[in-house]
Amino acid sequence: MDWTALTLSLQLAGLTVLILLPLSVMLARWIAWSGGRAVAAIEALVMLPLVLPPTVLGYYLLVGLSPGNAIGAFFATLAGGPLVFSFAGLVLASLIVNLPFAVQPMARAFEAIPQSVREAAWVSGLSRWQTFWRIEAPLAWPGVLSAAALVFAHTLGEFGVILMVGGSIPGETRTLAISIYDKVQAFQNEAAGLMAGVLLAVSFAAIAVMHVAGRQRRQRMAPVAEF
Amino acid sequence: MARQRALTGDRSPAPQTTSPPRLTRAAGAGAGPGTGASPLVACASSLIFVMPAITAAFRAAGGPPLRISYGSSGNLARQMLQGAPFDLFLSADAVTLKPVLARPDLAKATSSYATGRLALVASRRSALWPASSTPRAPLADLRTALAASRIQRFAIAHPDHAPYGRAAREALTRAGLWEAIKPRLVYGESVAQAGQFIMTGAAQAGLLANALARHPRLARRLQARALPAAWHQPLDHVMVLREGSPPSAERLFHFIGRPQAQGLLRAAGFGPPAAP
Repeated sequence: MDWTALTLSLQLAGLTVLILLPLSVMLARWIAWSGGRAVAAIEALVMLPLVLPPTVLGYYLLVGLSPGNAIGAFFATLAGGPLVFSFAGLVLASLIVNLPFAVQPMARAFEAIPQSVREAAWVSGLSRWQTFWRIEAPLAWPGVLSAAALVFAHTLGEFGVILMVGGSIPGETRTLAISIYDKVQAFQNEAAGLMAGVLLAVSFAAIAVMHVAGRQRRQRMAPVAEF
Repeated sequence: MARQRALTGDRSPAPQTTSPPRLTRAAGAGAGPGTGASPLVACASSLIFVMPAITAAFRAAGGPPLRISYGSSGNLARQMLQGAPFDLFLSADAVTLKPVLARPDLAKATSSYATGRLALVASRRSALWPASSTPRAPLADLRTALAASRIQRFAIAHPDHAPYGRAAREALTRAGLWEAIKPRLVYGESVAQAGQFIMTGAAQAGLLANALARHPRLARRLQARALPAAWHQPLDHVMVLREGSPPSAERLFHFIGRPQAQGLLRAAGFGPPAAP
Protein backbone atom coordinates (compact mmCIF):
# COMPACT_ATOMS: atom_id res chain seq x y z
CA MET A 1 0.00 0.00 0.00
CA ASP A 2 1.43 3.35 -1.08
CA TRP A 3 0.30 5.61 1.77
CA THR A 4 2.01 8.68 0.30
CA ALA A 5 0.01 8.21 -2.88
CA LEU A 6 -3.23 7.70 -0.96
CA THR A 7 -2.63 10.88 1.07
CA LEU A 8 -1.77 12.79 -2.09
CA SER A 9 -4.91 11.56 -3.86
CA LEU A 10 -7.09 12.53 -0.89
CA GLN A 11 -5.46 15.98 -0.75
CA LEU A 12 -5.96 16.47 -4.48
CA ALA A 13 -9.59 15.34 -4.34
CA GLY A 14 -10.32 17.45 -1.26
CA LEU A 15 -8.73 20.58 -2.71
CA THR A 16 -10.52 20.10 -6.02
CA VAL A 17 -13.89 19.85 -4.25
CA LEU A 18 -13.14 22.87 -2.03
CA ILE A 19 -12.11 25.12 -4.91
CA LEU A 20 -14.50 23.85 -7.54
CA LEU A 21 -17.72 23.77 -5.53
CA PRO A 22 -18.19 27.52 -4.86
CA LEU A 23 -17.20 28.38 -8.44
CA SER A 24 -19.55 25.77 -9.82
CA VAL A 25 -22.47 26.91 -7.65
CA MET A 26 -22.20 30.38 -9.22
CA LEU A 27 -21.78 28.95 -12.70
CA ALA A 28 -24.60 26.44 -12.26
CA ARG A 29 -27.06 29.12 -11.05
CA TRP A 30 -26.17 31.31 -13.98
CA ILE A 31 -26.63 28.42 -16.42
CA ALA A 32 -29.88 27.35 -14.78
CA TRP A 33 -31.56 30.74 -14.75
CA SER A 34 -30.27 32.59 -17.79
CA GLY A 35 -31.06 31.90 -21.40
CA GLY A 36 -29.56 32.72 -24.73
CA ARG A 37 -26.76 31.64 -26.96
CA ALA A 38 -24.00 32.71 -24.60
CA VAL A 39 -25.29 30.35 -21.91
CA ALA A 40 -25.58 27.49 -24.39
CA ALA A 41 -22.02 28.12 -25.55
CA ILE A 42 -20.64 28.29 -22.01
CA GLU A 43 -22.52 25.13 -21.02
CA ALA A 44 -21.07 23.35 -24.04
CA LEU A 45 -17.61 24.54 -23.05
CA VAL A 46 -18.13 23.31 -19.49
CA MET A 47 -19.19 19.90 -20.81
CA LEU A 48 -16.19 19.61 -23.12
CA PRO A 49 -13.82 17.82 -20.68
CA LEU A 50 -16.44 15.06 -20.40
CA VAL A 51 -16.03 14.00 -24.02
CA LEU A 52 -12.44 15.06 -24.70
CA PRO A 53 -9.93 12.23 -24.54
CA PRO A 54 -7.73 12.76 -21.46
CA THR A 55 -4.70 12.71 -23.74
CA VAL A 56 -6.02 15.72 -25.69
CA LEU A 57 -6.52 17.68 -22.49
CA GLY A 58 -3.20 16.39 -21.18
CA TYR A 59 -1.44 17.48 -24.33
CA TYR A 60 -2.83 21.02 -24.19
CA LEU A 61 -2.04 21.34 -20.50
CA LEU A 62 1.48 19.97 -21.00
CA VAL A 63 2.21 22.35 -23.86
CA GLY A 64 0.30 25.26 -22.34
CA LEU A 65 1.74 25.03 -18.85
CA SER A 66 5.37 24.43 -19.81
CA PRO A 67 7.53 27.25 -18.45
CA GLY A 68 8.78 27.78 -22.00
CA ASN A 69 5.72 29.74 -23.15
CA ALA A 70 3.92 32.87 -21.98
CA ILE A 71 0.92 31.23 -20.25
CA GLY A 72 3.10 28.68 -18.52
CA ALA A 73 5.58 31.34 -17.42
CA PHE A 74 2.73 33.48 -16.04
CA PHE A 75 1.34 30.59 -14.00
CA ALA A 76 4.86 29.67 -12.92
CA THR A 77 5.38 33.13 -11.43
CA LEU A 78 1.97 32.85 -9.77
CA ALA A 79 2.63 29.41 -8.29
CA GLY A 80 6.32 29.94 -7.58
CA GLY A 81 7.49 27.18 -9.92
CA PRO A 82 6.61 25.44 -13.16
CA LEU A 83 3.14 23.91 -13.07
CA VAL A 84 3.94 20.83 -15.12
CA PHE A 85 5.08 17.92 -12.95
CA SER A 86 3.96 19.68 -9.78
CA PHE A 87 1.07 19.28 -7.34
CA ALA A 88 -0.23 22.76 -8.18
CA GLY A 89 -0.39 21.70 -11.83
CA LEU A 90 -2.40 18.62 -10.90
CA VAL A 91 -4.88 20.78 -8.99
CA LEU A 92 -5.34 23.04 -12.01
CA ALA A 93 -5.74 20.04 -14.35
CA SER A 94 -8.16 18.44 -11.91
CA LEU A 95 -10.29 21.62 -11.75
CA ILE A 96 -10.66 21.67 -15.52
CA VAL A 97 -11.32 17.94 -15.87
CA ASN A 98 -13.98 17.99 -13.13
CA LEU A 99 -15.85 21.09 -14.26
CA PRO A 100 -18.68 19.13 -15.94
CA PHE A 101 -19.01 16.75 -12.98
CA ALA A 102 -19.47 19.70 -10.64
CA VAL A 103 -21.61 22.02 -12.76
CA GLN A 104 -23.95 19.50 -14.36
CA PRO A 105 -25.70 18.06 -11.24
CA MET A 106 -25.89 21.51 -9.65
CA ALA A 107 -27.32 23.17 -12.75
CA ARG A 108 -30.07 20.51 -12.83
CA ALA A 109 -30.74 21.05 -9.11
CA PHE A 110 -31.06 24.84 -9.45
CA GLU A 111 -33.15 24.47 -12.61
CA ALA A 112 -35.68 22.46 -10.65
CA ILE A 113 -36.38 25.38 -8.32
CA PRO A 114 -39.38 27.20 -9.82
CA GLN A 115 -38.93 30.89 -10.54
CA SER A 116 -42.15 31.51 -8.58
CA VAL A 117 -40.54 30.20 -5.39
CA ARG A 118 -37.69 32.68 -5.65
CA GLU A 119 -40.11 35.49 -6.52
CA ALA A 120 -42.18 34.60 -3.46
CA ALA A 121 -39.04 34.90 -1.35
CA TRP A 122 -38.24 38.34 -2.80
CA VAL A 123 -41.81 39.52 -2.27
CA SER A 124 -41.53 38.37 1.33
CA GLY A 125 -38.69 40.82 1.75
CA LEU A 126 -35.70 38.48 1.52
CA SER A 127 -32.59 39.87 -0.14
CA ARG A 128 -30.97 37.91 -2.98
CA TRP A 129 -28.32 36.69 -0.56
CA GLN A 130 -30.93 35.58 1.99
CA THR A 131 -32.92 33.92 -0.79
CA PHE A 132 -29.82 31.97 -1.76
CA TRP A 133 -29.06 30.78 1.77
CA ARG A 134 -32.60 30.17 3.05
CA ILE A 135 -34.45 29.03 -0.06
CA GLU A 136 -32.15 27.98 -2.89
CA ALA A 137 -29.35 26.33 -0.93
CA PRO A 138 -31.62 24.03 1.13
CA LEU A 139 -33.51 23.00 -2.01
CA ALA A 140 -30.43 22.49 -4.18
CA TRP A 141 -28.28 21.03 -1.43
CA PRO A 142 -28.63 17.38 -2.56
CA GLY A 143 -27.46 18.42 -6.03
CA VAL A 144 -24.40 20.08 -4.49
CA LEU A 145 -23.71 16.95 -2.43
CA SER A 146 -24.01 14.79 -5.56
CA ALA A 147 -21.56 17.04 -7.36
CA ALA A 148 -19.11 16.92 -4.45
CA ALA A 149 -19.22 13.12 -4.25
CA LEU A 150 -18.82 12.79 -8.01
CA VAL A 151 -15.91 15.24 -8.18
CA PHE A 152 -14.18 13.62 -5.22
CA ALA A 153 -14.44 10.10 -6.64
CA HIS A 154 -13.60 11.19 -10.15
CA THR A 155 -10.46 13.02 -8.96
CA LEU A 156 -9.27 9.93 -7.11
CA GLY A 157 -9.73 7.96 -10.32
CA GLU A 158 -8.24 10.48 -12.75
CA PHE A 159 -5.41 8.88 -14.67
CA GLY A 160 -4.71 9.97 -18.23
CA VAL A 161 -4.29 13.69 -17.67
CA ILE A 162 -2.18 13.15 -14.55
CA LEU A 163 0.01 10.65 -16.38
CA MET A 164 0.73 13.29 -19.02
CA VAL A 165 1.17 16.46 -16.95
CA GLY A 166 2.23 14.93 -13.65
CA GLY A 167 4.78 12.29 -14.41
CA SER A 168 5.05 10.04 -11.39
CA ILE A 169 6.89 11.94 -8.68
CA PRO A 170 6.46 10.42 -5.20
CA GLY A 171 4.70 12.80 -2.82
CA GLU A 172 4.18 15.37 -5.56
CA THR A 173 2.31 13.88 -8.53
CA ARG A 174 2.14 10.13 -7.92
CA THR A 175 -1.53 9.70 -7.08
CA LEU A 176 -3.12 6.40 -6.10
CA ALA A 177 -4.26 5.68 -9.66
CA ILE A 178 -0.75 6.34 -11.01
CA SER A 179 0.79 4.28 -8.22
CA ILE A 180 -1.36 1.29 -9.22
CA TYR A 181 -0.02 1.62 -12.77
CA ASP A 182 3.57 1.86 -11.45
CA LYS A 183 3.18 -1.13 -9.16
CA VAL A 184 1.89 -3.29 -12.01
CA GLN A 185 4.88 -2.22 -14.10
CA ALA A 186 7.16 -3.07 -11.19
CA PHE A 187 5.65 -6.59 -11.02
CA GLN A 188 4.05 -5.85 -7.63
CA ASN A 189 0.56 -7.09 -8.37
CA GLU A 190 -0.36 -7.62 -4.69
CA ALA A 191 0.21 -3.93 -3.87
CA ALA A 192 -1.66 -2.90 -7.02
CA GLY A 193 -4.58 -5.15 -6.09
CA LEU A 194 -4.87 -3.67 -2.62
CA MET A 195 -4.90 -0.10 -3.93
CA ALA A 196 -7.35 -1.00 -6.68
CA GLY A 197 -9.64 -2.31 -3.93
CA VAL A 198 -9.45 1.02 -2.09
CA LEU A 199 -10.42 2.95 -5.23
CA LEU A 200 -13.24 0.50 -5.93
CA ALA A 201 -14.65 1.02 -2.42
CA VAL A 202 -14.39 4.82 -2.63
CA SER A 203 -16.07 4.88 -6.04
CA PHE A 204 -18.89 2.68 -4.76
CA ALA A 205 -19.36 4.93 -1.74
CA ALA A 206 -19.52 8.00 -3.97
CA ILE A 207 -22.27 6.46 -6.08
CA ALA A 208 -24.17 5.49 -2.94
CA VAL A 209 -23.97 9.11 -1.72
CA MET A 210 -25.31 10.30 -5.06
CA HIS A 211 -28.26 7.93 -4.88
CA VAL A 212 -29.14 9.03 -1.36
CA ALA A 213 -28.78 12.66 -2.44
CA GLY A 214 -31.06 12.05 -5.41
CA ARG A 215 -33.79 10.65 -3.18
CA GLN A 216 -33.35 13.58 -0.77
CA ARG A 217 -33.78 16.02 -3.61
CA ARG A 218 -37.02 14.48 -4.77
CA GLN A 219 -38.36 14.63 -1.20
CA ARG A 220 -37.31 18.23 -0.69
CA MET A 221 -38.71 19.33 -4.02
CA ALA A 222 -42.12 17.69 -3.47
CA PRO A 223 -43.74 20.60 -1.58
CA VAL A 224 -42.15 23.16 -3.90
CA ALA A 225 -43.57 21.44 -6.95
CA GLU A 226 -47.07 22.58 -5.89
CA PHE A 227 -46.15 26.21 -6.40
CA MET B 1 34.94 2.37 -12.27
CA ALA B 2 32.56 4.85 -13.73
CA ARG B 3 33.85 7.66 -15.82
CA GLN B 4 32.74 11.01 -14.55
CA ARG B 5 32.90 14.30 -16.30
CA ALA B 6 31.83 17.73 -15.17
CA LEU B 7 29.82 19.49 -17.82
CA THR B 8 30.29 22.96 -16.46
CA GLY B 9 34.03 22.88 -16.95
CA ASP B 10 34.11 22.38 -20.69
CA ARG B 11 31.46 24.94 -21.53
CA SER B 12 31.79 28.67 -21.70
CA PRO B 13 29.80 30.36 -18.97
CA ALA B 14 28.10 32.63 -21.52
CA PRO B 15 24.99 30.53 -22.15
CA GLN B 16 24.26 30.40 -18.47
CA THR B 17 24.38 34.12 -17.94
CA THR B 18 22.42 35.01 -21.06
CA SER B 19 19.71 32.38 -20.69
CA PRO B 20 16.57 33.66 -18.92
CA PRO B 21 16.35 32.75 -15.27
CA ARG B 22 14.55 29.43 -14.97
CA LEU B 23 11.82 29.12 -12.45
CA THR B 24 13.02 25.92 -10.89
CA ARG B 25 12.43 25.42 -7.24
CA ALA B 26 15.05 23.81 -5.08
CA ALA B 27 14.42 20.10 -4.85
CA GLY B 28 12.57 19.13 -1.72
CA ALA B 29 11.52 22.71 -1.02
CA GLY B 30 8.44 22.52 -3.22
CA ALA B 31 4.92 23.53 -2.44
CA GLY B 32 3.67 19.99 -2.85
CA PRO B 33 2.99 17.82 0.16
CA GLY B 34 5.43 15.31 1.54
CA THR B 35 8.46 16.32 -0.51
CA GLY B 36 10.90 16.35 2.39
CA ALA B 37 14.62 16.69 1.76
CA SER B 38 15.11 13.51 -0.27
CA PRO B 39 16.43 13.92 -3.81
CA LEU B 40 14.17 13.00 -6.70
CA VAL B 41 15.75 10.35 -8.92
CA ALA B 42 14.42 9.43 -12.35
CA CYS B 43 15.27 5.83 -13.20
CA ALA B 44 15.06 3.81 -16.40
CA SER B 45 12.64 0.99 -15.70
CA SER B 46 15.34 -1.64 -16.31
CA LEU B 47 16.56 -0.55 -12.84
CA ILE B 48 13.29 -1.41 -11.07
CA PHE B 49 14.72 -4.46 -9.31
CA VAL B 50 18.21 -3.16 -8.49
CA MET B 51 17.29 0.31 -7.21
CA PRO B 52 15.86 -0.89 -3.86
CA ALA B 53 19.23 -2.54 -3.11
CA ILE B 54 21.19 0.53 -4.20
CA THR B 55 18.88 2.78 -2.16
CA ALA B 56 19.36 0.58 0.91
CA ALA B 57 23.16 0.63 0.48
CA PHE B 58 23.11 4.40 0.01
CA ARG B 59 21.08 4.86 3.16
CA ALA B 60 23.33 2.50 5.10
CA ALA B 61 26.20 4.74 4.01
CA GLY B 62 24.41 7.69 5.61
CA GLY B 63 22.49 8.97 2.59
CA PRO B 64 18.94 10.37 2.79
CA PRO B 65 15.90 8.41 1.54
CA LEU B 66 15.28 8.74 -2.19
CA ARG B 67 12.16 9.54 -4.13
CA ILE B 68 12.24 7.50 -7.33
CA SER B 69 10.25 7.90 -10.51
CA TYR B 70 10.49 5.00 -12.99
CA GLY B 71 9.74 5.14 -16.70
CA SER B 72 11.18 4.65 -20.14
CA SER B 73 14.32 6.78 -20.54
CA GLY B 74 12.80 8.65 -23.47
CA ASN B 75 9.76 9.62 -21.44
CA LEU B 76 11.84 10.67 -18.44
CA ALA B 77 14.21 12.73 -20.62
CA ARG B 78 11.24 14.49 -22.20
CA GLN B 79 9.74 15.18 -18.78
CA MET B 80 13.07 16.59 -17.58
CA LEU B 81 13.26 18.88 -20.62
CA GLN B 82 9.69 20.00 -19.97
CA GLY B 83 10.48 20.98 -16.41
CA ALA B 84 10.25 17.84 -14.25
CA PRO B 85 12.45 18.54 -11.20
CA PHE B 86 14.61 15.40 -11.35
CA ASP B 87 17.85 15.84 -9.37
CA LEU B 88 19.51 12.80 -10.90
CA PHE B 89 18.50 10.88 -14.00
CA LEU B 90 19.70 7.30 -14.56
CA SER B 91 19.12 6.67 -18.25
CA ALA B 92 19.32 3.33 -20.06
CA ASP B 93 21.30 4.73 -22.96
CA ALA B 94 23.33 7.72 -24.08
CA VAL B 95 21.35 8.64 -27.22
CA THR B 96 18.23 9.44 -25.21
CA LEU B 97 20.20 11.73 -22.92
CA LYS B 98 21.61 13.91 -25.70
CA PRO B 99 18.92 16.63 -25.61
CA VAL B 100 19.29 16.86 -21.82
CA LEU B 101 23.09 17.07 -21.99
CA ALA B 102 22.77 19.80 -24.61
CA ARG B 103 21.17 22.04 -21.98
CA PRO B 104 23.89 23.60 -19.81
CA ASP B 105 21.20 24.85 -17.43
CA LEU B 106 20.11 21.25 -16.79
CA ALA B 107 23.19 19.04 -16.93
CA LYS B 108 25.89 19.54 -14.33
CA ALA B 109 27.82 16.28 -14.67
CA THR B 110 27.44 13.01 -16.50
CA SER B 111 28.84 9.53 -16.14
CA SER B 112 28.44 6.01 -17.52
CA TYR B 113 27.38 3.63 -14.76
CA ALA B 114 26.51 0.34 -16.52
CA THR B 115 25.75 -1.34 -19.82
CA GLY B 116 22.58 -3.22 -20.62
CA ARG B 117 21.95 -6.47 -22.43
CA LEU B 118 18.85 -7.76 -24.15
CA ALA B 119 17.43 -11.16 -23.30
CA LEU B 120 14.89 -13.30 -25.13
CA VAL B 121 12.26 -14.20 -22.58
CA ALA B 122 9.45 -16.76 -22.63
CA SER B 123 7.61 -19.08 -20.27
CA ARG B 124 9.63 -22.04 -19.07
CA ARG B 125 7.19 -24.34 -20.84
CA SER B 126 7.42 -22.39 -24.09
CA ALA B 127 8.23 -24.21 -27.31
CA LEU B 128 10.87 -21.52 -27.81
CA TRP B 129 13.31 -23.48 -25.72
CA PRO B 130 14.78 -26.41 -27.64
CA ALA B 131 14.70 -29.81 -26.00
CA SER B 132 18.15 -30.61 -27.27
CA SER B 133 21.05 -29.50 -25.13
CA THR B 134 23.08 -28.17 -28.03
CA PRO B 135 22.72 -24.39 -27.96
CA ARG B 136 21.67 -22.75 -31.21
CA ALA B 137 21.80 -19.12 -32.26
CA PRO B 138 19.62 -17.19 -29.76
CA LEU B 139 16.89 -16.16 -32.18
CA ALA B 140 16.92 -19.32 -34.34
CA ASP B 141 14.18 -20.97 -32.28
CA LEU B 142 12.16 -17.77 -32.42
CA ARG B 143 12.29 -17.98 -36.21
CA THR B 144 10.97 -21.56 -36.10
CA ALA B 145 8.26 -20.65 -33.60
CA LEU B 146 7.14 -17.72 -35.74
CA ALA B 147 7.00 -19.85 -38.87
CA ALA B 148 4.87 -22.39 -37.03
CA SER B 149 2.61 -19.58 -35.70
CA ARG B 150 3.30 -20.68 -32.12
CA ILE B 151 3.72 -17.07 -31.05
CA GLN B 152 0.66 -14.84 -31.20
CA ARG B 153 2.06 -11.87 -29.28
CA PHE B 154 5.68 -10.82 -28.86
CA ALA B 155 6.39 -8.04 -26.34
CA ILE B 156 9.07 -5.38 -26.62
CA ALA B 157 9.36 -1.88 -25.14
CA HIS B 158 8.26 1.00 -27.36
CA PRO B 159 11.15 1.52 -29.81
CA ASP B 160 10.39 5.25 -30.16
CA HIS B 161 11.16 6.21 -26.57
CA ALA B 162 12.47 3.16 -24.69
CA PRO B 163 16.16 2.29 -25.24
CA TYR B 164 15.54 -1.46 -24.79
CA GLY B 165 12.74 -1.24 -27.36
CA ARG B 166 15.05 0.45 -29.82
CA ALA B 167 17.70 -2.20 -29.20
CA ALA B 168 15.08 -4.95 -29.62
CA ARG B 169 14.08 -3.53 -32.99
CA GLU B 170 17.74 -3.42 -34.04
CA ALA B 171 18.37 -7.00 -32.95
CA LEU B 172 15.23 -8.32 -34.65
CA THR B 173 16.08 -6.39 -37.82
CA ARG B 174 19.61 -7.77 -37.75
CA ALA B 175 18.25 -11.31 -37.42
CA GLY B 176 15.98 -10.65 -40.40
CA LEU B 177 12.89 -11.23 -38.26
CA TRP B 178 11.50 -7.69 -38.01
CA GLU B 179 9.02 -7.85 -40.90
CA ALA B 180 7.81 -11.31 -39.89
CA ILE B 181 7.30 -10.41 -36.25
CA LYS B 182 5.89 -6.90 -36.73
CA PRO B 183 2.20 -7.95 -36.92
CA ARG B 184 2.64 -9.85 -33.65
CA LEU B 185 4.40 -7.12 -31.67
CA VAL B 186 2.91 -5.53 -28.58
CA TYR B 187 4.65 -2.45 -27.26
CA GLY B 188 5.16 -1.78 -23.57
CA GLU B 189 5.26 1.81 -22.38
CA SER B 190 8.60 0.80 -20.84
CA VAL B 191 10.64 -2.39 -20.84
CA ALA B 192 9.10 -3.23 -17.45
CA GLN B 193 5.60 -3.12 -18.92
CA ALA B 194 6.73 -5.35 -21.77
CA GLY B 195 7.89 -7.75 -19.05
CA GLN B 196 4.49 -7.49 -17.37
CA PHE B 197 2.85 -8.52 -20.66
CA ILE B 198 4.92 -11.72 -20.70
CA MET B 199 4.45 -12.41 -16.99
CA THR B 200 0.66 -12.25 -17.30
CA GLY B 201 0.77 -14.53 -20.32
CA ALA B 202 -0.74 -11.85 -22.56
CA ALA B 203 2.37 -12.21 -24.72
CA GLN B 204 4.09 -15.55 -25.24
CA ALA B 205 7.60 -14.15 -25.52
CA GLY B 206 9.55 -10.93 -25.83
CA LEU B 207 12.85 -9.12 -25.65
CA LEU B 208 13.53 -7.59 -22.24
CA ALA B 209 16.38 -6.10 -20.27
CA ASN B 210 18.59 -8.91 -19.03
CA ALA B 211 18.52 -7.32 -15.57
CA LEU B 212 14.72 -7.69 -15.43
CA ALA B 213 14.64 -11.20 -16.88
CA ARG B 214 17.17 -12.53 -14.36
CA HIS B 215 15.33 -11.30 -11.29
CA PRO B 216 13.68 -14.14 -9.30
CA ARG B 217 10.28 -12.51 -9.64
CA LEU B 218 10.41 -13.19 -13.38
CA ALA B 219 12.86 -16.09 -13.45
CA ARG B 220 10.42 -18.14 -11.34
CA ARG B 221 8.11 -18.48 -14.32
CA LEU B 222 10.14 -17.31 -17.28
CA GLN B 223 13.29 -18.50 -18.94
CA ALA B 224 15.70 -16.04 -20.51
CA ARG B 225 18.65 -16.15 -22.84
CA ALA B 226 20.88 -13.13 -23.28
CA LEU B 227 21.49 -11.87 -26.82
CA PRO B 228 24.99 -11.01 -28.06
CA ALA B 229 25.68 -7.35 -27.24
CA ALA B 230 26.92 -6.81 -30.79
CA TRP B 231 23.40 -7.29 -32.20
CA HIS B 232 22.34 -3.75 -31.35
CA GLN B 233 23.76 -0.31 -30.61
CA PRO B 234 25.25 -0.46 -27.11
CA LEU B 235 22.89 0.21 -24.23
CA ASP B 236 25.34 2.51 -22.52
CA HIS B 237 23.60 3.40 -19.25
CA VAL B 238 24.48 7.03 -18.54
CA MET B 239 23.38 9.22 -15.64
CA VAL B 240 23.15 12.97 -15.48
CA LEU B 241 23.27 15.18 -12.40
CA ARG B 242 21.04 18.19 -12.57
CA GLU B 243 22.44 21.70 -12.30
CA GLY B 244 21.37 23.10 -8.93
CA SER B 245 20.51 19.73 -7.39
CA PRO B 246 21.07 19.29 -3.64
CA PRO B 247 24.41 17.86 -2.35
CA SER B 248 22.66 14.56 -1.51
CA ALA B 249 21.99 14.01 -5.22
CA GLU B 250 25.62 14.61 -6.06
CA ARG B 251 26.53 12.20 -3.30
CA LEU B 252 24.33 9.52 -4.87
CA PHE B 253 25.84 10.32 -8.28
CA HIS B 254 29.30 9.47 -6.92
CA PHE B 255 27.99 6.55 -4.85
CA ILE B 256 26.66 4.79 -7.96
CA GLY B 257 30.13 4.92 -9.48
CA ARG B 258 31.78 3.27 -6.46
CA PRO B 259 32.50 -0.48 -6.10
CA GLN B 260 29.60 -1.25 -3.74
CA ALA B 261 26.85 0.04 -6.06
CA GLN B 262 28.73 -1.23 -9.09
CA GLY B 263 28.79 -4.69 -7.49
CA LEU B 264 25.01 -4.57 -6.99
CA LEU B 265 24.51 -3.55 -10.63
CA ARG B 266 26.77 -6.35 -11.84
CA ALA B 267 24.98 -8.89 -9.62
CA ALA B 268 21.68 -7.72 -11.08
CA GLY B 269 22.81 -8.51 -14.61
CA PHE B 270 24.27 -5.26 -15.87
CA GLY B 271 27.63 -5.04 -17.60
CA PRO B 272 30.48 -2.71 -16.55
CA PRO B 273 30.22 0.94 -17.64
CA ALA B 274 31.43 1.75 -21.14
CA ALA B 275 35.04 2.90 -21.41
CA PRO B 276 35.43 6.63 -22.02
